[in-house]
Amino acid sequence: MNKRTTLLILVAILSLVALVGCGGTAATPTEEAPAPPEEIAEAPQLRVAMVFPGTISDQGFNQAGYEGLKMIEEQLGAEIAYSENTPVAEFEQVYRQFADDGNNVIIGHGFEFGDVALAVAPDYPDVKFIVDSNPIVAAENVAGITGESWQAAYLLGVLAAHMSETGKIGGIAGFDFPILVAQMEAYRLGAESVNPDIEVNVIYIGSFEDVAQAKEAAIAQIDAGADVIFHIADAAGVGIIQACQEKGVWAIGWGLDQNDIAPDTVISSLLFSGAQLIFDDTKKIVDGTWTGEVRLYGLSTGVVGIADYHGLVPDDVATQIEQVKQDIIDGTIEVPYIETPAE
Amino acid sequence: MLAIVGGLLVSGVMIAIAGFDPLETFAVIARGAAGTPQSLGVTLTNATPILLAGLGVALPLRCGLLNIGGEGQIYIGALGATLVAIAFPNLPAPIHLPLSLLAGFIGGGIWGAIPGWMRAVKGLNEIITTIMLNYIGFWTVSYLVHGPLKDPDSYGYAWTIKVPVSARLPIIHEVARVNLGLVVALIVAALVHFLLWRTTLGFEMRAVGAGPQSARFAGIPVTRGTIMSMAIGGGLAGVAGAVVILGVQLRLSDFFSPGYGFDAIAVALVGQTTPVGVVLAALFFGGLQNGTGSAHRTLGIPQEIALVTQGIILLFVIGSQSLTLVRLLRKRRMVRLVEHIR
Repeated sequence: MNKRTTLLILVAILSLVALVGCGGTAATPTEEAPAPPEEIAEAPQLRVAMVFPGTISDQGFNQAGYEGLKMIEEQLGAEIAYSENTPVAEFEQVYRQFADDGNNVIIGHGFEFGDVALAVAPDYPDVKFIVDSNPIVAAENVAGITGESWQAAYLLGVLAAHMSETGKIGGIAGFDFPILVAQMEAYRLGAESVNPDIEVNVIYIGSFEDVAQAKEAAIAQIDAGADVIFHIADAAGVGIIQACQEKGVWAIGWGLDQNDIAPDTVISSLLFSGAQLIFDDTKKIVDGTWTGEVRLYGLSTGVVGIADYHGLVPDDVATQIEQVKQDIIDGTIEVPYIETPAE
Repeated sequence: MLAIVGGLLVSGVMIAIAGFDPLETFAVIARGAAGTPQSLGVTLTNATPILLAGLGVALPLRCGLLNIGGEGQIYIGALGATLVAIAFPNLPAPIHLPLSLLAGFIGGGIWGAIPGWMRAVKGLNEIITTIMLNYIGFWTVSYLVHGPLKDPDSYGYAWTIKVPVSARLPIIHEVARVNLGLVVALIVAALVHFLLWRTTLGFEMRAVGAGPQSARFAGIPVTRGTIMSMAIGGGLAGVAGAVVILGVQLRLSDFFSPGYGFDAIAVALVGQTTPVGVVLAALFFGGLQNGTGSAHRTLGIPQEIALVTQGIILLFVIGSQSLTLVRLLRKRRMVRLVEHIR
């Protein structure tokens, strides 16, 4: 045992020496001076790093963010770097490493990066920090940005109320996250603006993946009389659309135009482009209009909207929705951000 | 040494297949692990919880018990530390911080003592019970941070309020951003060494580990050794949880641990279950994780390849020492056999 221990210690020390040794020689190339300051009047090379909480190929939230990062690389000529599946334990060190490596923009993909951005930002005044899906953080060099998806949800509420014959509509969301609650409550307000007596039944199923459970929830709502159902349940939403198709009621999708899943059933979808959101905000840095503040991207931008009706909605309803949309953009109608569920 | 070279060779081939330069990658891994004060700091910070939890596995292993429950003990320890930290916001730091750490130790200790007691008194396999307690620990914390302990201003996220400054582990090196938790971990490692080789209790534990039957014949309280080793082991893992919350994350959330309790098992085995070995193994692990993560972030190597590289190197290191594990398992089986025959 003693011999083994000594051996182990030796191995560990040797490997440490080796590591540090390699580190010494390898460190030189990157530590070159960061471009002579006076001569080049051009802005320095844009280097954008992004921190993801999940996998960049998740077909959902993270992937949308990654597509935005690729847009930044291709259209803004930025050098990009990213960290995926980043555990909470490593948020701060990942942020600091990206900043130390000379990235001048660091994007946190999700509300939860607000704290770390605020904590790290004062130490790196030349770096701009963007936290997307976060409508509260702001500092000198920190901006929280969010798509006003609840505006689009309001429009879909108007649509659902027009399309419903029973006077009962449903909404099914994955979790009662504030951003999802805000959309469901806006959907409710939109519907009530058309028919004050409409019954809006909202369920939070506690999963984005459980297709079977989502389907059950939808069937329960349909059996209770709902004839339009709006979902915000990512992958599980497929089950909701299937239930609507089987029961012959209308469905409203989320994220992308989901009409292709059930062409006779999905009358529209809430469009939300996470990619466009971070691209638009990063472009402000290139344009020189970026400031550290909370910025919301509403219906007037390409970030949120509603999908084509695919001929399933009467023209007069479509016209009315177009009018409401215009009113929201003009500010005549203000859609509130409500983060706690009604009832 | 051979193991590491072998691991580097095999993972180098993997990296080359993935379309990256293996030498450059290893250089980045090394630099990311210890090339600058900042990266060395990250390595040390990463190593701290797995060092503590690794001791929490190594100590019961000395007593012949395989503690798979590190993860649950970490969660309950973190819970205890968080509760004390946020319940007494007005205590002065010299009292508040040690008290919070102690709460972490007690929380994890209870979570370790339960399977220890079940093993010693009821003869239940501690591998099964510790795994089960992982779930109970994790979901208990999950429930609490979703419910009663949830920060009212969290915008729906499942986490507690931040622990007050007086309960936080202060940063002891500004540039490297290393917190006092590292010192705590090293002191704890020294204490464990002292416990194992300089105290009666430590001797009892080792005697039980060497063979419970002969230990019993020799008049050694097997029950006490079994329970105490699991309780202290659990407590050490609990301190790991406390150190993560009080030093790095500052608030308790579900999924706050990326699996420290499981890394701890590998750390304990690579470290040959000696405190010194565990310290070195934890530093190696911390550096490896930090270095491969850094390769992912700066070279754009897919995270999967980075993790595979990490896994291959570990596999080689553990493989070269597999004799320890085999010996341990064989001993356990013999003991069971003897008990069975009797």
